[in-house]
Amino acid sequence: MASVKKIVQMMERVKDGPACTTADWDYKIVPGTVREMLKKYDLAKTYNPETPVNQDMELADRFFEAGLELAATIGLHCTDTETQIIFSKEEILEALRDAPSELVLGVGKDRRILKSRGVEDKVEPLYCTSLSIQIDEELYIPLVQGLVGRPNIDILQGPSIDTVFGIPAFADSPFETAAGLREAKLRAEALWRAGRPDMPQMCLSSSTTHFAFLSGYPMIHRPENPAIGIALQPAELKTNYSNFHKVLMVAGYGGILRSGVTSMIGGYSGPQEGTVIANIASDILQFALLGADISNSSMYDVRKNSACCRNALWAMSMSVQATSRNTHTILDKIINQSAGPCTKDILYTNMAGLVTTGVSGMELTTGPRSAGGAKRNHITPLEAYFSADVFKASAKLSLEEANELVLYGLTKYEDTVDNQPAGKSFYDCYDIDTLQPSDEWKRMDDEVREDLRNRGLSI
Amino acid sequence: MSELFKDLSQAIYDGDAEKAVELAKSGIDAGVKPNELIDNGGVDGLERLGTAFNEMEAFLPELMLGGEAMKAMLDYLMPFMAKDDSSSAGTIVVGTAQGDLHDIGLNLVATQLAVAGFKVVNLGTDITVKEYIAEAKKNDADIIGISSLMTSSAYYQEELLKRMIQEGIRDNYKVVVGGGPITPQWTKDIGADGYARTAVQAVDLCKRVMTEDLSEALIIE
Repeated sequence: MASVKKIVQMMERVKDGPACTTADWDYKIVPGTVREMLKKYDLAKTYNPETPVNQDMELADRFFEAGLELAATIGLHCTDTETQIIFSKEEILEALRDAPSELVLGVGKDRRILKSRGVEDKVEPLYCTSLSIQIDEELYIPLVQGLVGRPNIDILQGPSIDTVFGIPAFADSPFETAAGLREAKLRAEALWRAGRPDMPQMCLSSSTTHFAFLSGYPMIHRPENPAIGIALQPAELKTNYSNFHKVLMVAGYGGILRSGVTSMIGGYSGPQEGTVIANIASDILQFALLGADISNSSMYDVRKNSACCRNALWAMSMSVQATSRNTHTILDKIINQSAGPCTKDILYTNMAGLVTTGVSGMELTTGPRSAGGAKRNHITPLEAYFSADVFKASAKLSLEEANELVLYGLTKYEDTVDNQPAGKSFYDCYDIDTLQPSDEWKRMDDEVREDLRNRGLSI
Repeated sequence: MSELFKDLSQAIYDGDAEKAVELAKSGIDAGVKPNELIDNGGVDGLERLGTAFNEMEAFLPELMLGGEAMKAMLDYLMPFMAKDDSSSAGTIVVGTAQGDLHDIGLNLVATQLAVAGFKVVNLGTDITVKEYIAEAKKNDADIIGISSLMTSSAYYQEELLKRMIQEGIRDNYKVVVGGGPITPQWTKDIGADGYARTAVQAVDLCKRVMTEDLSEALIIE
């Protein structure tokens, strides 16, 4: 993690960078330069639908070179100052060398080592649950207690609340500040009840802007168990002042910084090949700009609202392989999909996404993003346990085996990937008192696990 | 004349605002009605762009530039449309609610509405209730569109409607809502005029709230 001094110096560099309007950045600079890179490195139309898990390592290395050149050519754009932050290639490479290859998280029985991985790495990756899905405030403690109820859940991010003592937590207001304080208290209570008060934590989920983060982070961070601060950039290859608030907080407290943003296939960087280049650049620029410890630059197809459609799986595998083979950095990409709890769709789509990224060398993932994160209370512990088991089992697979599994998974959901069933809420498929899934939901989980075991996945 | 429409369609498709205005000017000089230039040239170009987007031949920047070119052409044609006794589909101010910085969905909606002939004032992201009202007044809007990807920002949708009632201007504008966590029930609870799930559906929604006498919120999902 960079020092406060370095961050402040970077902020000055952001403020005084060359002027560039956001419109020029979005319509000209990003798409134009990505197109140049696609041409220069002969990467256009390299997407192979038969290998959603890429098998061509020379191609992955070429993508990395293109991503590195994109990063060193255009850098990042700040939406508040409407400036560009340019980095030299040497500067970026130095930042990548300085990035941590190993992080020690948590205390005692919940201590975990988050270690850099490579393609087909046999070291198991770590699983953080869940994404910041909105839930009812009164559900927070039982749900989180359930989510961390198994040791295969390594890190807690947890859901988000949008009320404080029943009062709406208006974003960008003191109500949001109160939500940060409230979430921190609820977290501590839930972890204590689960018997895991010292487990690693990533925070803060209820932070729509920076206010909840500023209030809640200091309550969760401890010097002996540094909290992982979530600092989401506003968009691909962009930064803003709101994010710097969070970054400064993490730097000042000596925490661990996880920074990044989602790259969208079909968005500003164009087709899947262009998005891979921009995603690689996004990942490596988190280290150059902020001295991040973990980059969290995910990907999905904006047309299908999914990371688990075939082309997005290919893009994720390519991006992770490229960065894993050429750096020792720690990556966390999220599996975006829209199926919800109590459906087999969520299990098969998460399997495809997690096998793809796990075998490609990713160190950490945060999920699940049940029901696309858009349905209130649509998250349960069962899909988190399933996802953690699958992600860890990916360490036992070869690229070829992973590809076969993913192709099989696609047969289960590909036709409906852009309109998956939202499933049931925590209330409707879990017993909140015993924290056990309904028979229906448990049976689905058992059947999919058996199906995947029969196809070679060790879960 | 079909050559002019074809060139105009291509200028929009290419996102070339300057050329689109130049071609529209030559059309007006030749006596072509503004709505013919819009329908046969501009809309055709944007529809082709939409198809190309779905088929991975065009991407968000091209879509946005096409929308900008269409807007430039509409701005040029507006004075002539009054003479021609034509009118745009309506004026809408759109943005994301305070605290919400997500712009891609918003930009898709704004582009789709422009394609359909609305005059779109895209306020961008993180817009306060006061700004929505001020911009609606300033632009003599028919519709206010407020989206949010997070429930903590969605609360401002309700605040906007409350504020409009307090100021006695609720009946002056239709208010439509959208965004990932927004539901039909929320739309009805806060007293909005309508909700659509996708950018394409938002066009149908806005057209209908402009023309139909609705006794309750119109939900399109």
